[in-house]
Amino acid sequence: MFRIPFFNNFFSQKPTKPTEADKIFSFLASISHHPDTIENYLFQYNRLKKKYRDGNDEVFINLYLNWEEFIINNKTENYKNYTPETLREALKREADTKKLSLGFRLIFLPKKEQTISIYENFIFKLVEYINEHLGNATLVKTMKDIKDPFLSKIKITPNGLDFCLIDQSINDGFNYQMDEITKSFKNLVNVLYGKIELSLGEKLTKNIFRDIFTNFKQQYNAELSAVVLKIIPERILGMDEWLSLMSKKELERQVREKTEELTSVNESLEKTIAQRTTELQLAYDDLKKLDEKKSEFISVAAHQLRTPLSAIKWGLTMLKNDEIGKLTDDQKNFLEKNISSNNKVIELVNDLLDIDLYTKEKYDYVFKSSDMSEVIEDTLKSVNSLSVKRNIKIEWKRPAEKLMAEIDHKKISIVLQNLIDNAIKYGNENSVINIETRKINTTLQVIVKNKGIGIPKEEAENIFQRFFRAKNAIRKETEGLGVGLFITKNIVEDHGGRIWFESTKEGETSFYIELPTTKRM
Amino acid sequence: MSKNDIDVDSEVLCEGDQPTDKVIMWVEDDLLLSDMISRKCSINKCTLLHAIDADQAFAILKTTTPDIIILDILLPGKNGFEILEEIKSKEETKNIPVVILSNFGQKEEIEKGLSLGAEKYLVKATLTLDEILIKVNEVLEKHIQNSQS
Repeated sequence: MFRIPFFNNFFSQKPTKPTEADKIFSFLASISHHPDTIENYLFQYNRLKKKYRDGNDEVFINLYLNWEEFIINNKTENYKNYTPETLREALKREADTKKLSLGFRLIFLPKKEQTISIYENFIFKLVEYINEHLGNATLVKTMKDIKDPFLSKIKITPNGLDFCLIDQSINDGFNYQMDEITKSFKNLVNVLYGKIELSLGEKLTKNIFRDIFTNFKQQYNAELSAVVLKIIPERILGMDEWLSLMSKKELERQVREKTEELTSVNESLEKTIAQRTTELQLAYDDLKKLDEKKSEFISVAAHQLRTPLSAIKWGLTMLKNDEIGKLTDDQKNFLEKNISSNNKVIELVNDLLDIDLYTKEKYDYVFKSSDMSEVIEDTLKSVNSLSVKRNIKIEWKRPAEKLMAEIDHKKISIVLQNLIDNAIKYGNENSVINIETRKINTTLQVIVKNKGIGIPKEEAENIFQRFFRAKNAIRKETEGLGVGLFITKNIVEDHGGRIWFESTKEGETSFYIELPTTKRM
Repeated sequence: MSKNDIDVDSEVLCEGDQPTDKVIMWVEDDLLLSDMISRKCSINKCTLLHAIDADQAFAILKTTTPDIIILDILLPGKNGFEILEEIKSKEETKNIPVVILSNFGQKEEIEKGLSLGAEKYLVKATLTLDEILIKVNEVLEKHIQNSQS
């Protein structure tokens, strides 16, 4: 047992059997590497032993913990790498740790029992205070008022409280959840605190708590005393006080723990995001393929529809023009209606292709810095020949200043063409369409103004919807699916702009488009 | 017609001349449409050289040089674009003006047709035969003017 000769000197003076604490420290000495350190620690041990002759080995806790730390951080005589757990296990084989006094013993207890012991120890000190200053009767009354079944196992003695029933039930393997136990003890602390506070006032009570805790910290190391903080209700110690009571080391440990937690949460989040991104990409690809198929279908269907529609259109027109034989006026009138009905279907097919084209090209915009005047002039070149037929004049004065904006030239040209076409279609014969441009700060406005059937107030909300046509528009023009303004609005909004209109009762209608001069998406 | 169909006339006023006494080669495989085309040409006193596919078209072109060619796209065998390419690649035929008349009318097809050398790209369903022939006549007159100057 006493493998180091000079170690004998410290114990051999006493002829009595070595105590359990002696056994523990002699083992520590036997595995430590540094002779100087061993001597130093043994010197301290002997001094404490002499000073406290009552066999209260709680005084050794700090010495033990320091020595333990030294052994863990340094080479050992037997070349073993110890952790606190393995070292304590080894010590349990050397000494009967159960015979140590409560404070020292708890170092060698399993985690759960250790925690409970610390709770009990802390509460014991608190109760000691009540017993001493408020009398045992107060304690008895206080404990009786607590209805917690777990806490009812605590026996009240003239000296304070006896936790042996709780310890026993835990030793017997009763499966109490640590959370529940902590909650019960916390409740007890809260009640006891309330009792002390009632007679001594808030400030003094807080100080008493602080003293007890500080005492605790001196007796155990920071890690063990921090356990107590779990059962001190928040109202007693604010966050700042908690922090000040904790040691730097304990704080660092908690910060490290939380940081690790955060890091792992972060990592798993990143993984989840990566996974979801892949899933989304796949779903997007699927949808895109489906969309392409839809477009293909529409294109083929439209083409297949157009061939018989052409035959009907050509044939009926030839018939009406007497090219197959002479017809009466009544017959021609009748044919005229059929031709117009057929034209309507042709227009619908065109609209279908238009809207499909829009959805197909939705994702390939080419934004370039362009002069809006150029776009307007380009559009006017290919304006509907209907304007000539209906004798509608289009007026536009190109401003001297360039109207630069970051836009897709072709797409904005579609917008303008739709607006101008509508202005012609629904404009009065012999009227004038005005196109105006304005630069307001970082936006460009184009206004297309006509005089015609106007837009009824009650229809205003729906005018930009897909497949919508105002009632008065249907009476005026029979062709069209009502997709023009829908596409127009979408293109304007794809540019980060907006579109609106004003219409008077007299039929003066102005359509406004407003586009940002720099792309903002 | 799509608003993107640049260079395609969607609404034509029925005013203007139609070709007379011209030789027109018309490549069209649909029988009903072909019947109407042939009636229309005979009314206009035009000579119609009708072909339903590339083989018939090139057989005709071996012996005759029409004033103008009207070409469909979707045909059995070679399509209209391939026929157009071949016409434009041959010395004997490359100067004959070609008008595409198809029911395909999307931007890519129109751009392709025009870039291969067609004078005009027309969409069948949006035009009457009269309107088509007015357009064809415009192309013919422009062509005659260009070759005279």
